[in-house]
Amino acid sequence: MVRLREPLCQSCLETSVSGKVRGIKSAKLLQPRDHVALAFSGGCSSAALLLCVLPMRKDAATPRKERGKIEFDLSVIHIDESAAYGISPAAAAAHVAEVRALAAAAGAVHPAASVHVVPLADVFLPPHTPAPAPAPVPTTAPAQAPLRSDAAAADAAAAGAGPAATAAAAAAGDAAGLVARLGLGAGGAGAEPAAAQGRGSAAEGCRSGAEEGGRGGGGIAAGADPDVGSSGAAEREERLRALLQSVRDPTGREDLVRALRALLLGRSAAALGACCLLRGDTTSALAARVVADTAKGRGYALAGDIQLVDARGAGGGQPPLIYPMREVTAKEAAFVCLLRGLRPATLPAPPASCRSINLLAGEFIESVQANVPSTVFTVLRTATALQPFPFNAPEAMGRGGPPPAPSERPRRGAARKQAAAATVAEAEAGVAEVGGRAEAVAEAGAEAGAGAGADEVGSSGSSLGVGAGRGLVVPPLCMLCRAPLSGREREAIARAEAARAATVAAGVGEGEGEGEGEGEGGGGGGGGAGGGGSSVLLLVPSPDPAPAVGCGRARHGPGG
Amino acid sequence: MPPRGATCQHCKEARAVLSRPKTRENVCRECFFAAFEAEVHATITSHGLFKPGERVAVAASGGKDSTVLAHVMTTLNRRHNYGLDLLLLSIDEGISGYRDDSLETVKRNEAQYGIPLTVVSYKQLYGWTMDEIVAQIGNKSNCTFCGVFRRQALDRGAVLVGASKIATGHNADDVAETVLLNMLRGDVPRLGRCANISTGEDSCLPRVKPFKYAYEKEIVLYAYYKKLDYFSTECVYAPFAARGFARELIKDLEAARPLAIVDVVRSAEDFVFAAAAEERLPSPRSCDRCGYLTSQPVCKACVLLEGLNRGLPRLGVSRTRGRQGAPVLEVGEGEAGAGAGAGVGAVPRVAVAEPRAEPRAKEGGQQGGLRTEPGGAVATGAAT
Repeated sequence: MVRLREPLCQSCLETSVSGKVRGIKSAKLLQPRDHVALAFSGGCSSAALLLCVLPMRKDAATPRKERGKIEFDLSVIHIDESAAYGISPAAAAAHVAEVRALAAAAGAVHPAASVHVVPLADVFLPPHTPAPAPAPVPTTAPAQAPLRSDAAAADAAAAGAGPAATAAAAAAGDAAGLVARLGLGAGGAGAEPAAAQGRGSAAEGCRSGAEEGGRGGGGIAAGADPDVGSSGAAEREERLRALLQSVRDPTGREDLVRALRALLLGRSAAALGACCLLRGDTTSALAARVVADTAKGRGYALAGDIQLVDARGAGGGQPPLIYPMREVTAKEAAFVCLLRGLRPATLPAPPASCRSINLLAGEFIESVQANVPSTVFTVLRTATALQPFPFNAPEAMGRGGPPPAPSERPRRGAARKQAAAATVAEAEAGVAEVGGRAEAVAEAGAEAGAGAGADEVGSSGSSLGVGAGRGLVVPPLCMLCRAPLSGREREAIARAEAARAATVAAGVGEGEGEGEGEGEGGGGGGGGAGGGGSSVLLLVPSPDPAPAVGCGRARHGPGG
Repeated sequence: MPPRGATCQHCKEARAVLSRPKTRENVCRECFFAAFEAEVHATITSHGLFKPGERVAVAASGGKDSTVLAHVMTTLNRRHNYGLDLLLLSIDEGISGYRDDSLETVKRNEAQYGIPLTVVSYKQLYGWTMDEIVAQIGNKSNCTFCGVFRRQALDRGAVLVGASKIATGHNADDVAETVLLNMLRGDVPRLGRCANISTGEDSCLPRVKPFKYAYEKEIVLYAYYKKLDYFSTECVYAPFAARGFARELIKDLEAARPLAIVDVVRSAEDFVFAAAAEERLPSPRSCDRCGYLTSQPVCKACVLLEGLNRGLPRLGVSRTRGRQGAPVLEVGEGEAGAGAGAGVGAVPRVAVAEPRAEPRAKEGGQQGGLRTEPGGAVATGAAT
C-alpha cells in the first residue's frame, strides 16, 4: 500500500520502480562497456536501486545480445562513516559486515558486481589514485579490513603491516599500470591539494591547514608520506573526529559529513575508473533536500542539486552523478526491500537533542506527505521549475545528445592531458597563495578558507571547465559543498579579496568594512550576524570566537 | 535569556536584559531598540522603498506587527526625515470577538501617534462579514475568502484616502511561511513573487514590507519593552489554516539555527526560474465586473462573491471552472447589476474609484468615505 489508496502486488510495484530506473538506459545515460559505480549507504533507497540496476546487466556468459540488457561493470561503493559518529570499532565492523551482507543478498556478488568499503577518514588522503585491481575483493570474507583504495599502493610500497596489505599487495601490481592507463596520476591530483588546503583551513581555521596543503602537494611526488598506511588510518580517523567535533552547529556538522562523503565517493569512483556514479536519492529525499537547502540560504544552488544528472565534478576528475530513483518515493523503495526480505543496515541516529535542519526538513516532508501523498512530487516539480545549470544537462556527461561542433572541442584524450597540465600549473601557483591566505584566515578566525578556496577554484574551475574540452563550463563552485556561487557571493568574495589586499593586518577593521560593504537590506547595519544567510562569511568576526563551520555560505549563530 | 550579570554586547556598559532572537546576542534595551530600528532603516534605504513627499497608508490591524510598524515608521520618519505623509488604514472583516477589539486598539494608536485613521469594512464593500461567510461555507478555506477580500479592501481604502503606497507589517516569519506554502502547493508564479519586498510597482498602488527581514519574536520583544499598545489574540478561524504546518516548521528551524528564517527569504530571492516557467506567467488586466487588477477575466473577489451569493460556496475555491471547462463566470452577467439595482453579485461600482483612475479628488477629510455613497447602483447585502 505504497500510495494511499492503491494496493499493489509485489511484481507490479517492482515493475513500476525498476521501470523508472531503467529510464536511464533509454535516456542513453548508461551505455555498453560502461563502468558504473553505485553509492551504497545500506539504506532502503540504495538497496532498491541496486536491486533494479543488477538485472539490467548482461551476464558475460553468452556473447549473444540479451533483450533489454547492457554489458557494464558495476562497482558498489560504501563509505563507512562509523568513525564520524563515535561508534565503537566492534560495532563499526559489525555494521560494515551488515552492509556487505545486504549487498550480497541483493545480488552484488562476483562477477556481477564488486563491493568496496571505504572509510570516511580516507578523504584526508592525497588523491593520487592508485586504484585497486578491477578484480573485486571477494565479499565472502567479512573479517577483512575495509579496502582502502587510496592507501593500497602506498601500503605495499611502505611494506605496511595490517590485513589491508594482503589485499593491497595483490592489487598493487596492477595499481601502477592502472594509474598510467587512466592518466590520473598527477593531473587528477593537481586540483585537489588546493581542495585539501581549502577544506583544512576552512574547517579547522588553524595553521595546520596550510602545512597540510604543502604536504599534500609534496606527497604526490614523494609518495613516502608517513600519513599513509595502517597506522595512518587511526590518525586520520582521529583527525576526522576532531574536525567534526570542532563544528558546533549540528546542521553544519551533518553538512560537512555529507560534503566529505560526496567528495570521497567521487574520488573512489574515479579511482576505480567508473564513468558515472549512481545515487539512490528518492523523491522524498530530494523534496526534503529542497526544503533544507531553502532553509540554508541555498536558493541559487538548489536547482543544480535535484536534477537527474549532475556533472559538475568533471573539472576535478570526478564522474558525473545520476539519480535514477528520482521519481520513486521512499515508501516505494522501502516496500521493495521489505517484500524481497532485505533489511536495511543503517547507523544509529544521533541523539534527538540536536535536531538539525536536515532532520526537520525530512520530518516535515514526511508529515505533509502522510496527509497529501502527492506532496513530494509537487515540491520536486516546483524545484524543477528553477533554471538548472549547464552541468545538469545530460550532454554534460560527454555522451548522448547531439555531437559537439567539431571546431570547438578537441579530442577527449588530448583534452584530458591539457586539463591535467592546466590544473597542475594552477595548483602549484595556488599552493603558495593559499598557504599565505590560510594564515590570514586563521587570524580572523572565520571560515574564510571556504571563501578563499572557492575563489581559487573559481579561477581554476573556469579554466578547467574550458580545458575539459567537452564545452562544459562549470561555474565557480564552493570549495566544500560544491554549490555554484551566486552573483552576490562572487561579488562579496571579490570585495573581500580587495579589502584584504588593502589592509592585511586589521581583521576587525575589515570585518566592519565587509558588513557595510554588503549593503544588504537584511540588517547589514547590525554588524556581522545580521547580514543575512547566504552571503559568504569571510572576515566578519562573529561575537563568539569559536569557529562555526559548515558550508561557507550559511552563517551560524554563535553557540550551538 | 542572557546569564545573570552579563553585559550588553553592543554598548558594553549596561546590563543585558534580553537575548536577540535573530543573533542570540545579549543586549540591553536601548541597544536592542537601536539595532532593530537601524535594521529597518537599512532595509528601507537600501531598497529605496519610499520617496520624500509620498502619502503612505500603513495597514493597521491592531496586532503587534502593524502597531510596531506604525510606531517605527513614525519614529524613523521623524528621525531620518523621510518626508512621508503617514496614514493608518484598517479593515473590518466582521469577525466578532476578534476584529472589533483590535479596532479599538487601532483607534488608540491613532491618538498615540497622531496619524489619521480610516476604517473600511467588508460589509460595506462586499455585503458580507466574515462571520456570515463562515456560516455559509463552513470552516475550510476561510483564509482564502478573507485574504482575497482584504487585499482589495486595502487597495480601495488606500485609493480613498489618496495614498500612493501601502506599507504592510509582514515580517520575516510571514514571508518564510509563504515561501514554504507556495512550494508545497507548487505555485511557481507566486513563489517567484512572494519574496519581493515591494510588489506591484508597475501599478499605481505598490505595497512594501519594511519588516521583511525583521523576526516576529523581535517585533514582539520590541512591543513589549516599548510598552506598545497592541491586541494579541489570534484569529478565531486560524486553527484550520494550512499555514499552521509551515509555521511550525519555521519555528523549529529557528530553534535549530536562528538565521534560518532569513535564509529562507534569501533563498526565495535567489531563485532563478527557467524561461519556460516564466512564459506561463499570467499578465495583468482588469476585471470585467469591478475593474480591479487581476490576471483573469473576472477577479477572484467577484468570483468568490458570486459563489457566496448563489449558494455555491466552493466556487472559486475548488470549483474554478464551469461546465465543460468554461470560465466560471460569464462576463455579461454582472452588467445588468450596474443598472437598476438588482445585481448583488457584483462588487458594487461604488464611488470609490477603481485604483486605475487617479482618485486625487477623493483626498483627505473623507473619513469613512464609503459610508457617504452617492445614490444609484450600489448593491449591498442589506438590499436582499
